[in-house]
Amino acid sequence: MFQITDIPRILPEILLLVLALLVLGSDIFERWSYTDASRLERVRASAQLSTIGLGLIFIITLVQSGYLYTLPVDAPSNFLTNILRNLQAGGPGQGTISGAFATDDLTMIARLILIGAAFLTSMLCLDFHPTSNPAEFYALIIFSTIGMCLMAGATELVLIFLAVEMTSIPLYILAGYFGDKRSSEAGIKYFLFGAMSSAIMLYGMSLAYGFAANALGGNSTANDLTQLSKIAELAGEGNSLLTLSMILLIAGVGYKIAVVPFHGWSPDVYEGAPTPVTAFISTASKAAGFLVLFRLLTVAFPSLTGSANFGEELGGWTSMMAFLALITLIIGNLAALPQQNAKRMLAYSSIAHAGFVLLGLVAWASPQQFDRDQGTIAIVYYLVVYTLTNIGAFGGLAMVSMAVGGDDVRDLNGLARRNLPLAVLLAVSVLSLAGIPPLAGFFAKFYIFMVGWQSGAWWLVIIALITTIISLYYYLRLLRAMFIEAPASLEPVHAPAGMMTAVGVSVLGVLLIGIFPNLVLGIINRVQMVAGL
Amino acid sequence: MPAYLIPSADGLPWLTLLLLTPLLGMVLVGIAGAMRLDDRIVKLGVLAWTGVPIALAALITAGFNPNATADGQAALQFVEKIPWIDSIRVDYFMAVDGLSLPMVLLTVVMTPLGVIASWGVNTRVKTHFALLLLLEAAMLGYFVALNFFFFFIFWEFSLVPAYFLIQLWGRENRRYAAFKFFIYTMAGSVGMLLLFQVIYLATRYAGAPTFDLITLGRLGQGLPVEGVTGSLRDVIFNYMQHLGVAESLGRYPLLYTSIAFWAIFIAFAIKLAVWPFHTWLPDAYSEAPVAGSVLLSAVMSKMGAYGMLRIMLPLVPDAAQYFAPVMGGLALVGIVAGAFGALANISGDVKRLIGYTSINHMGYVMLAIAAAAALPGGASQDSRAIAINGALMQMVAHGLSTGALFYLAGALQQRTGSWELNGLGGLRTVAPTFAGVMGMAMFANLGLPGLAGFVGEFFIFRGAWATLPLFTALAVIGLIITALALLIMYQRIFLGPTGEAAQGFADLRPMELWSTVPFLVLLLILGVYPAPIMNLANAAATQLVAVFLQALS
Repeated sequence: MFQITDIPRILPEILLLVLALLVLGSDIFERWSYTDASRLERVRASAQLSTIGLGLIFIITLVQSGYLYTLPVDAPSNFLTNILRNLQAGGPGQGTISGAFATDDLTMIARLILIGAAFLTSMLCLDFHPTSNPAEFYALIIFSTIGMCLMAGATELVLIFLAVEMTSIPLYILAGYFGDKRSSEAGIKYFLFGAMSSAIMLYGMSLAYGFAANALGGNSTANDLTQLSKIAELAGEGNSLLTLSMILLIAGVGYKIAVVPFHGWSPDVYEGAPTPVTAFISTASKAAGFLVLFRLLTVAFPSLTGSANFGEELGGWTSMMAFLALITLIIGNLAALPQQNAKRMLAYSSIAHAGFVLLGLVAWASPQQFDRDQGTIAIVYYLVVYTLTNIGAFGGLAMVSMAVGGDDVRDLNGLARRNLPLAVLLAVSVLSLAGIPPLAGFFAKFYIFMVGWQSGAWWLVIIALITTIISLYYYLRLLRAMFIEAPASLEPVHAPAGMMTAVGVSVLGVLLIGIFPNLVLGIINRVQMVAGL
Repeated sequence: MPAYLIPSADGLPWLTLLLLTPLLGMVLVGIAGAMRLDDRIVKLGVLAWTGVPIALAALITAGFNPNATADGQAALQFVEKIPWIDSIRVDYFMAVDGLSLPMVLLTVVMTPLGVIASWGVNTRVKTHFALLLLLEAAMLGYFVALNFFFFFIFWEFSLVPAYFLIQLWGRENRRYAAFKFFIYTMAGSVGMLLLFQVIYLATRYAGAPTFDLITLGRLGQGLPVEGVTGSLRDVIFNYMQHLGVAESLGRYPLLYTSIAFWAIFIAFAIKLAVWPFHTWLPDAYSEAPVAGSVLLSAVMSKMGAYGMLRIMLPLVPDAAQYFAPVMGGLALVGIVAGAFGALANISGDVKRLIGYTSINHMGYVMLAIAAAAALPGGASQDSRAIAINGALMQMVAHGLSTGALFYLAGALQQRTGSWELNGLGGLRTVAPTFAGVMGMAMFANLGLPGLAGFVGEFFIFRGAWATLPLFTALAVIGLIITALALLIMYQRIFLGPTGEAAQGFADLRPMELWSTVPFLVLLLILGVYPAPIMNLANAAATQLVAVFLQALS
């Protein structure tokens, strides 16, 4: 049952909701007219409000999580410690709320990733001016973030569906925000794919529910049959209905995380959407998708885990993940090679990165809990790194395309001579995507590969490594364009301060957690206790 | 800490300081860039700054005890060991021993020459010098890092500055050369990366997970390690049985160490340019800017040989012994082919010619490593240690002489405007100092007695004779052909009738002269009195080869 004491446990979501309404509402009090000056004023006000608000919520969430500082039990009681105590009482731990929403460490870390990504995205948008209705633009980002946080913690099918929709619908609008031909195409395409996948996912959910109701002999008075752990409890050995439901659910979530063969929408959407929105879609929404997938598979379908080893009979979702990872890695990396548009190239690169994360899920093929936990840690670490790196890369690209007016690879030509700091930041992000030590991307891959070995999917690790080498080609192409090629003009590229800060923060993060992985691994190590397992 | 790990006497993190100085220099260059200082001041500043690592390295050498051994291996000194990543047991582990200290010295000594060789750079000067310092830091880190994680980071990261040096300041074909160089090394090290992940998991299965190269080396050599029973071969084999791989591939422990051996060997052989993994080398050396050629040939190629001594021989001695004839054979082909490759370029590109002689000289190093590991044909520990000593000596001597040769070739090109050997001749009459200096560097390079190159080659042949007599006898061909190629090169530049290029050809400027003289002096001193290097390395080399005195497989 939901109790009044559960409210602090969903405090970040509540605060996000308040902030979103505040952003929408405060816009009414701005000066409305059609002059550029007044429009700029509205943009500024909304952007600053949402950036500051998201930053505050991030800090509150961090304090609540207790990762940096946990109040000792015997601390003296005064005004400050009382606030802190009440706040941290809603921190990670305890059971699920009504069986529907888990507030374990995984959710807490995911909230930090997602709210952090939203914060950086809105910071990128400080200087990236939406053409109309600025308040809605920023509010939609925040609404979508609420959906993502709910996705990360949802342990029940209906909430999962609602959260996925709540995430996606604002993103459809954001993708089509510019209203020009490409942007509209992106929005419509994203919407159509999303609607289709939702239908598939819903079908899988109804099958799972039907299976659970059936297993109880048609006793329809039970109202907990959509809970993931309940489905796992009722699952016997090798039920084909449940397998079908699982496949449909994977297909449904597969579109959110853009793994091959559910990736068709992503290059067009990434290319057409406003670049900060692309950064947001490719990082936060993907990370949330992975967490949903993780909870779905590990909590609801432990009986169908199977194995990804050669020589053993394949089956279950680990072999399915291994297969998806295989084609995702190969197609993602190969399709990126001939791209002329930098955004499209990064879109394919981001598809390929999804393949690496899937490799972490394959870790569940190992029967030992320790190996499985390593897999979870590797996934979360990868998501942190990937989010930071991609926001850096897309953010840098956004600045270039704002100044130069295009986002082809050749628009990057000679960037080093036109704006060296920007070129260096972008280069670090790209090198981290390529996995060059000592940047965080290297260690993330290192960890994922090790997890892959542990799970016995060594063939997959070798293929993943080969595709990594192939991927160097297109990453080096970006570097070459920036540092080697002659610029089209020597006019300096203007880099707005807000965007530069956002990109700088992400690049600094990439450097720091690459050289000192312990900084975040110490925290991520706590995800081992996942609710319902 | 076990007895074979000795922290520095005064508790200061000397090696970290050594590593951070070039990086700090980079930051200073950045500040200079922000202050818009004159390029010339930056050049002088960087040159002065490269003295700091030299001073630090000298202090480290002064505090280094070359004879310290403990628990069956040479003691590692100036140890710094701090837990870094708890979840996979990675330590920040830095130390030097007799194998790495000569390489550290070589690195710090060669960097100033690289800096001087870049004096003529006029485009993006600050970036160029920052990259040189970054390269120095990466190479130093590689030689002192003893945890695989850091070792690998420095290994890969050294590619980035080298790549940009070639790409941005190289010759016409630089794109192709830089790309090939990067991809070759990267692709080669993939197997090693995978291998160490497996080794980590295997040691975890055995109860003591580690990426520690020294611990793994002790395991490989069968020396006692706390928490593990049996050698690394057993550890890997047990894990393969546990995985079920042994059921399908066969129950031969040597098979798995052999796979490990090839994974390591290919990674380092590419860097060392062992035939047939050498094809990137002539391109990279000849297309790189002069500073790039100097550092690439003098230090970076030694990274491969050092890796073999540090990782390959201790970790998989049985497979190294088993495949020693193969290594010896590849070395021999490299020696002869490198020599003939040089001979083929006597009327072509001077940098390519020197590049090919490098392949030849690195072949000797490979031969020495193979000989140290080869089956006991009655060869004593001494012969094997002599081969390793010779290899280290050869690495140092070749670094000094090839660095100087590339530098002088750069000076030659500045004057004539071309890298071609055609159309030169008779320059000795107009530039006698130039001819003398280059002659001495060349003679050191081809191994004339009295100069350091001879000592290295002599020791290698003496050591290799005991285990691989046939290969050694045939390798002498390479000596002669290289000498021939280098002599013809010299003849075409300096002797004979005076060519067109001689008109207005300036002799060495004082700065050019004084920047090469220290290297020639070092070559001469080490040629007459090689003890400083030999003493540093001897204990480490002797302990390293102890395991090979018996038939291992």
